[in-house]
Amino acid sequence: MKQWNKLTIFLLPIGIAVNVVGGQLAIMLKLPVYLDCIGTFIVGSLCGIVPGLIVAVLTQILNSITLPTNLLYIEIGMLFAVLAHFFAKYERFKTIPRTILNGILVACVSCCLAVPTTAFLLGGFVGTGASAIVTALMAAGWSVLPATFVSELVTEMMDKVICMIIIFFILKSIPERLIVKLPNAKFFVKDLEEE
Amino acid sequence: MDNITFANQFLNPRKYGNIILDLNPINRLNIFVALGISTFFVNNYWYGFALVLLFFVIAAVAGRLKRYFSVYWKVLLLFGLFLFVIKAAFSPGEHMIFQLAGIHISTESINSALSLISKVLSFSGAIVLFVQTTEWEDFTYALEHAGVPHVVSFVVLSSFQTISDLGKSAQVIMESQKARGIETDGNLVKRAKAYIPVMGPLVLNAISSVEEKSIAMDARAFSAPVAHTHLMELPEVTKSEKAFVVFIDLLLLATIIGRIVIWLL
Repeated sequence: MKQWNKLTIFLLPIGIAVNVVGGQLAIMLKLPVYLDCIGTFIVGSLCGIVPGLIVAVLTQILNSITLPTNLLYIEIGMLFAVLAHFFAKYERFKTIPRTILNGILVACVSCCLAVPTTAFLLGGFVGTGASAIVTALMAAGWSVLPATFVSELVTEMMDKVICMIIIFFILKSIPERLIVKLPNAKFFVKDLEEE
Repeated sequence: MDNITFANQFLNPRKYGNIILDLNPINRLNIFVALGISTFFVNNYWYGFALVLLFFVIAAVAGRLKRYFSVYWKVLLLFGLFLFVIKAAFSPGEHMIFQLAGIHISTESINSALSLISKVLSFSGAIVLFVQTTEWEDFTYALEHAGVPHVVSFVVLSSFQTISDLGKSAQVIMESQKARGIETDGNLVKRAKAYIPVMGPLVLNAISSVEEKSIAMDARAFSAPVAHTHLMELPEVTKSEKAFVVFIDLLLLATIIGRIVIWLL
């Protein structure tokens, strides 16, 4: 294993905690969205793919302590980490319109990944607010797949767009003197010479 | 506890005096996960329900029944009851028992619902049971013993600490923002507006504390390139324990192979 950036190691627990606390805060304020991937995106875009992956996987493992079916969605968080790195690389966090586009893209991708698991393994049931929409649609005569797809897409779209806007503001306000010490600094700070 | 007993507890490997709690954490994970996975390869829902019962018995033997149930009841309610109802009401089937608007319950749908929830419940049970019978520091110690870098232990253990720390400071930030006039009750838009002023300072604060933390840890030789010592140790794995784990794994392997053979024929 190559020598890791020291700051990256200490950012990992913070990324995980931000994921969990962000989700708890959304529940505390009774918001209809999850907002539980802020940490993954921040660590993924500041430190690169592998640290992002670690944050995503550990967060999901911690979440599955109380609800083990969360383990089935582990690949989605991992995908977020990869996306976060490339969003940073191609400067997708620079302006608000781009950020909103990111949110829509992430929502579509995660929806496509989540739907097969939800529809086939769990019969459309995830135990969150989205399940209510699924049940209502299914009672109205829809079959499992489209019902799950619609409900997931609606909730994911709201969730991810809000998430991305929060991440945009956070990334913008992290001081540059800290960012330059992180692996992905070259994507955020202009006129930084390549090592 | 006086000082002598406190000091003495570090001289011997940590023992709980309980047959299940004293298993090596990795072996325990292996056994529980093997049991949990096996349910996906046995095509009979009674097996899944038997496992659920077995996990309750194991939790009772380990003396952790209360802790186990305090987490598991949610799984039982969400997936045992609601999932069963939804699956039974909306799955297609031939032999109708009851029909109303979009809801149609049939023998097939009840069967498929039972087999689905038996799998979900038993797999979830295995994981919840492992978490509730294991101290995280024991588990990370065992992982380090098996060759995982100590950074992993640090990340896992400090995540728990950071979660509770950030939770507390979220509370503090929220109180201060309330004092400043931000409303955290009221309609959806008001509550959503309160999210950003809490989350922003929280994350920025946490991120900017990283540098100090890394200096503090390096001052304690966190990244020194030498073998690390441990304050607490776990007992050596006995031969019979090893044999038992291998036996369980072989059983799982046999079940999987058997399932594939039946499926091919």
